[in-house]
Amino acid sequence: MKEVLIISGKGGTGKTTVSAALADLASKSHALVLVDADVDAANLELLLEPTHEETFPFRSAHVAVIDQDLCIQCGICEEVCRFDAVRRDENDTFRIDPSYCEGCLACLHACPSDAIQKMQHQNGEWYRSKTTYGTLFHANLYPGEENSGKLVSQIKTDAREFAEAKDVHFLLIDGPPGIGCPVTAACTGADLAVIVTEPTMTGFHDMRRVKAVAEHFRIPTQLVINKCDLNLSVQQEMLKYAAEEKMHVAGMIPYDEAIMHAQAEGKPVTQSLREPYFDLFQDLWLAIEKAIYE
Amino acid sequence: MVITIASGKGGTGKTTVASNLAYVLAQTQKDAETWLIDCDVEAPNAALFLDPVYDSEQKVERLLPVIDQEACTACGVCVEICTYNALAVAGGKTLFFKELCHACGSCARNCPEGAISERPEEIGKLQKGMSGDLHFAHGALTIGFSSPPPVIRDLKKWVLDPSAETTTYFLDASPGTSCPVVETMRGSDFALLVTEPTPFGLHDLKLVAELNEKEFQLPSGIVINKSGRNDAIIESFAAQKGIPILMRIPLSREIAESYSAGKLLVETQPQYTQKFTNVIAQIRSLIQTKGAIQ
Repeated sequence: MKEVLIISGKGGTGKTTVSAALADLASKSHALVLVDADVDAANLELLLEPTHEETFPFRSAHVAVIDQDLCIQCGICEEVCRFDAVRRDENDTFRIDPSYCEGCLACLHACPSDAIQKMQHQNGEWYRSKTTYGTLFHANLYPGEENSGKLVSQIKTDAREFAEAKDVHFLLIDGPPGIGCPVTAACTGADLAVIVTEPTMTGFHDMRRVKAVAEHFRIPTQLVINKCDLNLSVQQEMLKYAAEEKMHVAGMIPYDEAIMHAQAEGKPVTQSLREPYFDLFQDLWLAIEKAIYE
Repeated sequence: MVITIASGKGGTGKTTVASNLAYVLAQTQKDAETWLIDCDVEAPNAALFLDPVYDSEQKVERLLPVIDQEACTACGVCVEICTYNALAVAGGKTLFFKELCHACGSCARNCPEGAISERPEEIGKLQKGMSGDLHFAHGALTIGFSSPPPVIRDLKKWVLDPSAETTTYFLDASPGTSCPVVETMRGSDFALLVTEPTPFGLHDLKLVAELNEKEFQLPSGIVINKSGRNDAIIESFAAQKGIPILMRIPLSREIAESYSAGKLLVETQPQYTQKFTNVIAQIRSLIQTKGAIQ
C-alpha cells in the first residue's frame, strides 16, 4: 500500500485543489482510495461529487459526569483535573463543565466514591462514498468538537482496510492545515508528504514548520509551490530552502484567475483546464508517481 | 472588548483582517490599549506583518510521563487508562507516544508499580511585545506535541485581562472549527467571520457560524475577502442568518502581492484605514445592540 499525504501548514494554499487534481489524474492509471483528513472543514467532497454509501456515527468523545447522589464532596476530582473542568458552587456541589472536559477521565479513576461516570456522546459522523475517482472516506466533525485526530485515525484505518479488501494499493489523503493532532494522525503511515505552499512570508514560515513535523515522523517530502509567481523573491528563497533540504520541487503553479475559476466549477481543475496548466498538474502527478514507485 | 477573527477555511484572510484592524485602532486610539493576540499557535503568522519588538517570553510547560522501564512490569494498566492512545505495551515494554499525550497525569497517578513519574516538558513558547503603539502577543506549539489548546489557554491567561474595559483585544484564530477555535473564541464579545466567495469559503463559513450559534451566541459579522462576481453565495447565507456583511476586500493580484511580502494592506493602500475604522465602529455598535437586547 502506498500512502500519499497532502499538507501545507498554512491554510488556503491549495491542498484540496491539488488533492482533487491528483485524484483525477491518478485514477486514470491506478485504483484509488481517497481520504479527506480535514475533518473539521471537509472540502474535498465539494469537488468530487460523492454519493454516500454508508454513514457511521463517530462517538469517540466522552465527558465525565458526577452522580450527585454518590458524590461525597471531597474535591479530589477538582485537584486531579488539569483542564479546569470541575466547578464547585457555593454549596460545595461539584459539577463538570463539558465544554472544558477533555475526556481524560483522570477524575473518574481518582474518585474515592465511584461517583463519576463517563458519558459518551456522538461528536461527528463519517462516510464511505463513491466517486468517479475511487471510494472516498470523509467525515464531519461537529463544530466545536474535540478528538479530530481520533476521527482522522478512524477514517484512515477504515480506508486502509477497505483498500486491502478491494486489492487497491494507493491511498491519497487530503490533509488538514496546521501541525496539531489531526495532522499528526494524518502523518502516521504516509510514504510521502506533498507540501503545498505559496510564495508568501506566511506560507514559507508555515511550510517550514510542517516540514519539521514530517521529518519528526521520518516521512519524505516533496514541494508544490502554488501561485508561484506571486512573489519572486520569496519563491527564490523557497527554492533555495528546498535545495538545502534536498526536497524535490514537484510542481510550480502560477497565480492565475483561470485556475481559481476552474476550481469554482466544483470539479477537479484538471477537468476544465487546458494547456499549459493541465500539463503542470500532469507533471506534478508524474513526479509523485515516480517518487513513490521508485 | 474581545474580538475573535475566525473563518473555518484557512487562507481566507483572517490574519490580514486581524492585523490591519489592530494596527489601525492602535494608531487612531492612543488613549487606550489595543492588542493583537495571534492564537493560531500551529501556524503563527501575524508577527510577519507587524514586526513586533519582543520584551518578554514565557515557556508553556505541561507534565508529561516518564516511564521507569526497570520498575515497569508491562501490566498495561496505563494503556487501558489513557484515553488518547498515547501508551502501548510491546515486547514487554511500555512505549510512550508524546505526540498523542494530553498531559492529564492519569497514567502516572494510576500505575500500580509507581513506575511512571512526570517531568515538565516544553510544549510551546509565548512572546509579547510592541509593534509601534500596538501590543502584540503570540504563541508557538512545539513541533512534536500536537495539542494546541493548552498553549492558547496559557497565552490568553498571560496577556488578556477580561476586566480591562477600555482595552481592545483582537484574537486571530486558527482555521477549522474544533477545539483550538473554541479555546480562542471562549470569553469573546464578538466573532468576526472572514470568508471568500467560493464553495469552500461558504461551506466553512456555515460551520464556523454554527459553532458560534451552538457554543457562544456571540454577535457576529462577515468580511468577504477576495470579493468579486460570486459574492451572492455569501450574501444569501448572510441574509438568511441575519449576519451583517461589514466589509469587502476585492480579489486582486496587487493585494495578494503585498500580502506575500508581509506588508499590511493599510501600508500599501492607505484608503483601507478608513474602511477598517468603519468595521471597528460597526463591531462596537453590534456589541452594544446585543447588550441592550439582553
